[in-house]
Parts: sequence; C-alpha cells; structure tokens
Amino acid sequence: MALRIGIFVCHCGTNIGGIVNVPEVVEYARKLPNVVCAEGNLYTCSEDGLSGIRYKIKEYDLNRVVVASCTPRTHEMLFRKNCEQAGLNKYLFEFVNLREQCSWVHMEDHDGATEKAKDLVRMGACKVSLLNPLEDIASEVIGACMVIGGGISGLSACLTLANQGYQVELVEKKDILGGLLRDINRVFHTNEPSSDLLDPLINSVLTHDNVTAHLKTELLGVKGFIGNFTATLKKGLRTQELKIGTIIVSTGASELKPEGSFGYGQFDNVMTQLDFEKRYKSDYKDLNRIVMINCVGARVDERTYCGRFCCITAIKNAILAKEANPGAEVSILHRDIMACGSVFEDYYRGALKVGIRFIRYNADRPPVILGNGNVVERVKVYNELVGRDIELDVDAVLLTTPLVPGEDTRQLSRIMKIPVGNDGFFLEAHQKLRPVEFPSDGIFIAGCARYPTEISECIAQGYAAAAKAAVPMAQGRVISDAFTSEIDPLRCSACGRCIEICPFGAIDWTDWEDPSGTIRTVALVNPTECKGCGLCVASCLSGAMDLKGFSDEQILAMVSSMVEITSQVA
Amino acid sequence: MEQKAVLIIGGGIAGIQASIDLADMGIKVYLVEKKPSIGGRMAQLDKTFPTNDCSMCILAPKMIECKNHENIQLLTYSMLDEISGEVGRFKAKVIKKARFVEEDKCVGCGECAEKCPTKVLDDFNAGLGKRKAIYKYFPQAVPSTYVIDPAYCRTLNGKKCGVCEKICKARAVNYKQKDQALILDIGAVILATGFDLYDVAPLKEYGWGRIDNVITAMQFERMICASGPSGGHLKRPSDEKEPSRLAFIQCVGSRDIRHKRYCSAVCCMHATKEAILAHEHYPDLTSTIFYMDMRAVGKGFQDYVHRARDQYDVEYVRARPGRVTENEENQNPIIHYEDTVRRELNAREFDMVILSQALIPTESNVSIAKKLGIDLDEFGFISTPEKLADPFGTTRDGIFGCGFCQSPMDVPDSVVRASAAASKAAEVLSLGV
Amino acid sequence: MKREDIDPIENEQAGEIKTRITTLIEKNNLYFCLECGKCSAVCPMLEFYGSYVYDRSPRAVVERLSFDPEGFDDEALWYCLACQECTFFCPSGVDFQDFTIALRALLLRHGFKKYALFCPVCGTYIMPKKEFENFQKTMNDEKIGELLSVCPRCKTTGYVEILHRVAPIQKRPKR
Repeated sequence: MALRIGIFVCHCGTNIGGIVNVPEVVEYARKLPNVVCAEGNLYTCSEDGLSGIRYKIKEYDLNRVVVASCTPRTHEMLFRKNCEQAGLNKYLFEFVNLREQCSWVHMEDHDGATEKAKDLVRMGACKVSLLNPLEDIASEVIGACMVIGGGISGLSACLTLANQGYQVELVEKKDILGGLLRDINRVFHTNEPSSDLLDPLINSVLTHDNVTAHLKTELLGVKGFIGNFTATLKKGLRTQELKIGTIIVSTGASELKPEGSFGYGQFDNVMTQLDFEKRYKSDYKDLNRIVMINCVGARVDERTYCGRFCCITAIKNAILAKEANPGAEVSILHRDIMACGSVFEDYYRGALKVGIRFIRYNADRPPVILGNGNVVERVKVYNELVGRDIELDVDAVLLTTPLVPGEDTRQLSRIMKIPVGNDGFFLEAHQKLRPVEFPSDGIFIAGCARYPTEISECIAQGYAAAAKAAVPMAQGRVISDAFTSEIDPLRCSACGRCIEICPFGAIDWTDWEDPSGTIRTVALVNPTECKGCGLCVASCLSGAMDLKGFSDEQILAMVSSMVEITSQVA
Repeated sequence: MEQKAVLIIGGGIAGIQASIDLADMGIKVYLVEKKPSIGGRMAQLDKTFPTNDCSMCILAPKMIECKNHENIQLLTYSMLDEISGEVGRFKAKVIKKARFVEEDKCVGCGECAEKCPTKVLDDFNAGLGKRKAIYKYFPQAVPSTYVIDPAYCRTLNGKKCGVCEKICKARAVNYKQKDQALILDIGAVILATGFDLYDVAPLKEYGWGRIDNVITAMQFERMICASGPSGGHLKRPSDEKEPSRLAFIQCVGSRDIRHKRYCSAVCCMHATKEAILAHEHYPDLTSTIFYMDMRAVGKGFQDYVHRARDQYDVEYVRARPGRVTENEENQNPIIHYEDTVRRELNAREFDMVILSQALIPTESNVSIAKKLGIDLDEFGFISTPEKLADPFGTTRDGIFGCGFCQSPMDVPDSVVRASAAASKAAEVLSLGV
Repeated sequence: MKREDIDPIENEQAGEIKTRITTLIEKNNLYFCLECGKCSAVCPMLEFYGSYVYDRSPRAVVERLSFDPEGFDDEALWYCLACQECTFFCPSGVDFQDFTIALRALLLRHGFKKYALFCPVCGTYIMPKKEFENFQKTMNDEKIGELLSVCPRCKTTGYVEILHRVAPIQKRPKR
C-alpha cells in the first residue's frame, strides 16, 4: 500500500514558533517523499489542533502521521489516542521534538534552529515510513493479591483490599500476626497498649471472608508478571501454589542490637529500647535513674541514615518511666531531636514539661559508660551546649537504635527481582512520587521493609500499596505499550546478558524448538512486563534483540537520512 | 459497584494523586481546586529534595493525566458551596467561578495578557513579580485557559478598556460570563487542601518587610526557579546584585509559642536544598543555615545534608538568631546570634537572608470545615481524631483527609496518604454504604 | 524589704530552698528551654558586659539551675536587668524575667544577700551590686552620681529612678 504521510508542525505558542520559522519547515515538509499533507498549528494539542488532525486523516486518507512539537513524555499518549479516534492505528504515529531538542537549546540561533527542525522532521518522516501497525498487549488480571508479611502495614493492606472486594492471600512466616508491634509495650503518641491497636485489626482481617491467612508459611518462589503471578508457598512439609494478580511486600524490619557498643551484651543493665519494653513492660518503679543514648548505630559512618522515629520512642519510654516514678531522673543524650510535625513536637514538649533532661552530645565525643562488675554505674557525657562533662549515675542505660533491614530482604529481592538500595532496604520506583511501587509492575511495598516508618505512616503505606494494587485488579486487565523488545531465537546464543540487565525482570529463559527439531534454551521477552527501554537490545552480542518502534532498521534509516542531506550541502 | 463519584477538594500533588488512583480504579472523580490551575505548591518549587528532580517535570505529566483522564472532571477556579446527606449519599454544590474567558475557545496563546494595561502583584511568584489582570496562573497551567481577575480588571470595574476582548483571535473573552453551580452526587469526599505560608512580618526581629534583603523561602524558590520572575538568577532585592553569602534562618514562626507551636517538618530539608541549588548556580556562593535540630529523617535525607555540608559549601550553625539588623551603607543584613555549640555571641554580615517561614493550614480550611461539618484541630489542620487507628478519617463519616492539611509532611508522605485516602474512598463506594 | 526582714536563717536546710527553686522552675517553664540561644542574642546585658561569658546568659542560668538547683550561690544570678526581652522572645515559653525576680526574692528571704545592694539608711533592697558597679563606671556625670544616692523608700538614696531613666536610652543597643 502506498504511504500517505501527514506532517503537523506546531508553533507551541512562541516556544517553538518564536525561534523556528515554522511556515518554512511546513513548506519543506510538504516536499518530502510520500507526504500528502503538511500544516502548521499554533497549539497542536488544543482541541482545535487535535480535531484538525483527525479531519485531515480522513480527508487525505492518511496512513502515517508525524507531529513535530514538544515532548513525547507529556503528549505522546494524547496524539496516539487522537489518531486512534480517527481510525488510524496509533502506532503509525511518530513524535518529533522541536522544543526541548531544538528551539529551547538553540534560542540564539534562529536560522540554525530552523535548519535543524527541517532535519528532524525529515528524519521523523523517514522513520514513520518504516513503522508497522501494532496492537496493544492486553492481559488478564487475577483479582487476588498476595500480601507478604502480617505486620501493621500488611494487615492494613489486607483489610482495605478485602473491604474493596478483592481476594487477599496473607503470607506470614511466624505463627502469629502483628510483626514488630507485637513486641512493643505501648505505642506513641497515645501511650496506649499496642494490643489496643493490633487486636481489632487482626481480628477483622482473620474473620474477613475475602482473606485467606497462611501462617507459619514461607515464600519459596514467585514466577510470572502483573496480573498473573504464581507464588510457591511452603508450610511445614507441604508446598502450595497460589495464583495472584498483584503482590504487596510488607516484610518489615528489625531493631538493631548494637553488640559491643556502650557495653551492650556485656552489662546487665544496658539494653535497647525494645529490650526495655520487653523486660519491664510497665513496671518501672525501681528504676530511679535512667540514661538513654540516642543515635546508637544510626547517623554514623557505617549507617548514615536516621531511624526517623527512634527519638520519639525514647521520649515515649522516658515519659512512661517518669509517669510511673515521678521522682526518677531520666536523661536523654541526643544529637538532634527529630520530633517533626505537630503531634510529635507537642509530645516532645510534654517530655520537657515533666523534667526529662535532654543533653546534646557531638558524634565526635560520644558518651562513655563506666561499669563496675556486671552493671554500668555511671555515664559520662560532654554536654556540647554547656561545654563541660557531666556525670550521671544510672540504674539502667537504654540505647536508642534504628531499625535495620529485615533478614529476608536479600532473599526476597532475588525471588521477585525487586531492587535493594544502598542502605539495605528495598528501593522504590521513585523516591518522591512513587514511594510504594517497584519498577516491576504489579509488585508494591509498604512499611518498614522500605525504610523505618512510624505506625501511622505504616498504616498509610499499607492503604496506599493497596490502592496501587487495586488499580489493575479493578480494571481486570493490563494494557501494555506495544513498543517492546523482541528476540529472534535463531540468533540467540543464550548468554543471559539481557536477562541480567533488564531492570524490570521482563526476560526469562524458555525452551524453543529450532527448525531442525532441536530443543534449545533461549531468552524470551514478556511483552506485558517489557517497558521498551532498549537495554537488552544494546547488550545483545548476537544481534538477536530488536525493539519495536525503535528497531535497528528504523534508527539506522534516520541516521542515513540525517547524514545524506548534510553531505549534499557540504 | 455504586456509580457514585468521589469529590476531592484541593488540586495539589495529594489531590492529583488521589484522583488518578481512584479514576484508574474506574471510579468517577470531581477534582475541585480554588485556584485557576491544579498543581499546588509543587508548581512553585524549582527542584524537590532529596533527588533534586525538576519539580514541574515530575508534576506536569500527572497534571496532564488528570486533565485527560476520562474519569476525572477538573473543576478549577471552583469552590465547594454546600454539602448535604451522609456517607455514600452526599449531594454537593460546587460553584465554578466565572473566568470571563471561555474554556473551550481559549488556546492559551497569551496575547491578551501581553496587551492588558493593568499590572497586579503576582501571588504565584510570592509577590516578587507582577502579572496582568488577565492572566494564566503559571506557564504550564492545567487547564491552560486564561482568567480575568475581577478585582483588578478595568472593564469589569466599569472603566474603559476591552483590550483583551478585541485582541483575542479565538474570541474567547466574555465579560458577561456567570458563575456556574453544579450539583454532584457524591459517595465520599477527600480533603487535600495543603498549606499556606505564614506571614512573617509580625516577627519584627527578623526584619522581613523592613530590610530589603531579607526574603522568605518561597520567594527564594521563585527567584531560583528558571521559570520564575528573574529567570533563575539570584538578584537581591535592594540592588539586584548577585549575593555570594546567603543565610537561612530556620523555624521562623515554627516551634514558637508566640506564633506556631508545631514543627513544619520540611523546612530543614528545603533550606538545605535551596542552599545546594544556589551553590550550583553560583559556585563561589556560600550558605549558612541557622537551625535548632536538623530534622532530616526521611529516606536519603541524612546523606543529602552531608553532601550539602561537604560538597556545596553549606555551613550549619546551631543557633536561633535574636535579630537581624541592616548595614546602612550597603544594605547587607546582619544576623545577631549565639552560636550555642561554640557558646559565642556573634554578629555576622550576609548578602541576603532567607527566612524558612512556618507553613500553616490553608485559610479556606475554616470555611470548608464549616460547610462539611467537620472539626479542625487547634492549629487549623483537619482534625484526625483517631490518628493511629484511622489516620485518614475526620470527624465525619465518608470524609477523609490526606497530606499537609492533616499535619505537616513532605511530598512522599503526602502522596502515600493520598493513595491511602483513595483506598478508603473506594472501600466506601464498594461497600455500597 | 527592710533590714529586719532579712533574717539569715542559720541552719536553713538547703533542701527547702532547692524545693522552692524547683517550684519556681516549673512555674516559669524553665524545663522547656531548648537551648536555642535566642535569649542570649537579644539580652542587652550581654552586650553591656562586653564579651560573652557562658555563666551569665539566660540559657546558661536556665540550664544550670534546671538540673542543679543547688547552684544558687552564684553571682551570675544577679546580673540580669529583668528587662523582659528574653521572656518576650523565648519561643519555648520560658519566663526568665519572672523567674529571676522571684528567685532573688527567695534568696534574699533566706539571707543570701552578699550579691545585693541595700540602702544604708532603711535597709531596702535596691539592685544587684554588680549593676551598681557598672553604672558607677559608665556614668560620668557628677550630678547623676549624686542622685544615685537617693533611696526610693526613705528618699535618702535614688538608684532605682535613675536606673529606669538612664538605662533604656544609654545602655540598650539599637534595634
């Protein structure tokens, strides 16, 4: 079929039109091979511009469309959809960026920018000629979600998903639900028992029709992709396979036990905050002199992050100890008090009010413990703001430590091909705008598995991950972009580079029968998971990989087109 | 599932995120925003910590997704007028204020604003520049329709003009446009009204308003932003010279019983970010940040602060300055403080002083709370009675809150809360309450 | 306060004073001090005394006395002018002015008067010794020097009047 290309060049207000001579580019475009229609628009993305394109598609019977305007990042979907509305396959559309890649970077050189715009349009027309019609890939989504980890984040996610009507498979390796909160005596800032918060939630989750709880169960493996995961569970000697559509990782974290620091493990009366809660529960009346040391194992060279809520934990335990024993002397040695926001700042003031003493020390001059036998008797600290050493008698020394990544993190990362950051916690897709998502579609994260997070934020993240999981399950299917990579199994040498390099875990091994009848193991791209980034194409030594929509043929044709006119001019 | 919709009040990043999540789930959303464009505070920022992403670049795709999503109806320049009913069965009346420009005709070309004779102090640019009486809230506004400010427009105030109407090729200007009232069937409401900036003029000791070269952090953000009034160049107000010694004073109005007792949570980080950006623009520039506690608690935040200190010439001084005076010869501000670590009283001269102002709940919270019949807490934030058991609830069933309007928090936390509130709203709708 | 009011209680238990000081500390919110240093920065007396000495600034006194109420036998407690700048500006709500005045009254009641000045005629408490020394040093005018000897009570010495008239104009730094 003969090519009939339509080219639409945008002024983008003055963004492009103020630098590039758009009418000249339109004139030039009109003369390119196979172009039957070319025009300029003030704002191609406006209602006028879009309907104009649809009209021209019909009037000129266009079978290829090029829009030369701003950035595909924000507008590609819009123009593709517009073509589709006019009855043209949306993958027969090419976007040329005349703004970020032309007018905005050549603001001083109007003539040069215009010439470059012509080059870019010519290259775009060349590429669009080689584009093939493609179909979006739709795959079904199973309306079930697997939540790994039954702590406060996981439980919250379970409850809301179940309430929204989805099936939830809760997998917990212990024989009891509740996670880290179970070990905590009272929670900040309400100072209520943690069971007040946990028990009703656990009850709601366990009695919900839509929830199946797998306790004392381990996750052995996960295969598949969004909408269609298969998880292998192990309980005792039995294994079981689950089919789910989405996965939420909420495996939590654990408190750092700072062996060797400040006499921990050496002296009876040196303990972490959690040890303190477990040992004394609410019976503090014999403790008259308590010293807490903050930032133990946090904000140091080996572990640069801040534990986020450990200051508040220390304050909580200090307040409780003081309430139980008003005459007690409680001191908190700190390096900053991280009581952000409205609730925590007031909580801090509450601690100040009852006479808890806050002493600031510098990381270069940490406190020194002075022991006698198997107890610590005194703590010496250089009060940075006062300029002298202070010695405090103690009955108990509490070390405030941060949460560290859970022991299962590395293993889970391997099983599900989800990334782990430098700090050892799971790494989300984008720190600002996608905090509960992984780059791999269909897998989400909530709670301390991502970073130390206080209770209300854990609950919020549980609900947020649930919302993200609910989206594909609500839609019932996932539509993936057709620009995915594709392998020619004949050329695949099974080196495995592409599998390793894919950030989305979209490539896996498969068995393939070659024309001679031999079964070979080759790589296979899952088009649903593939994001079309092209890393596999670049890494393939055998030339077996190609990317639809950015194929070698198409790109090389663009390069030829760019070079041939230049050499003619020269 | 019930075919009710969710009403989201507030079109900042939280409102936008909640809208997209719900819309993707197949639920209809009305996103109501009182300003002429969605985008909120993130649109005013240059870069965001700790990744130093260009704020508009990560925000714009979400704004456009909102506009184009078939399940989201954007109601900008609109406000909630009244609401009745109960969870699952609300009826809301939203007033869409007249823009005096037809939304379906305006192409956003800007010729009207070029010729408009009336200049007005620009609120988007924190008072640092001027806009016209007919204006687009900011260049990448969504929707991109212009709007006429009835307080300043000559024609609307009975004076002779009509220039924009004459000039507009699309014939989109309509001085006779009226406010529109929409009655909506709503199943649940999500509040995402964000924050306003505390007026620091009453803190006379710091000299904002009296000393030219003392500005607020938001003014600094607009200054350093490439699309701001000075094109990303730092020009100090008194003489437009490039400053090379910056000072940031933290907790101005925050953690202060005379103003706002609470901590605004993000200022330690945004001051560090601003110091880093300033140094990136001007490699010889140094910054001093006067703080009490360096609250860098989020993921990657401690590393960010260390980088600022080690690579970007940022000095951290633990002090809460007593007052700022002015060197009358060169208008350099002088900060008088006690360095609490060195235990020394000092008076240091800088080229420009930036006050990290307290961030307060939006003033519209008061009227919204009244209309919705919910409580605010003593600071004016949306009251969350069960902060642990139900972090998104308010004092009324079916009405949820998310983001800064509940309590000071940064963008990742707001976005999480927004998605969480979306889950709650989805629960309400699917339970068919 | 008359001379006969100041009755040194010989075997006064330091414990009782400590308890009363603790009460004063709680009443005036001294525990809320975050050591931000704003009080020191606005205190006119620090500039008046020249280079900063740790002992004298409001936050130093607050820090010391909050947790060491026995440190009340201290000249530094008598330097404060009680001008109220620190109380006004303190973001945490510490009322140092009220505390200082009440503390001094308490100490005087218990006979700790070695740092204070009294009218040689009627025995009225006038001002901290240190303050008087500084005024003597800085006030050159003979007439003012004479006036300094008129007491507000018995009218034979007049320190307090001069203090209020002279100090705000001469001694307070420009804002």
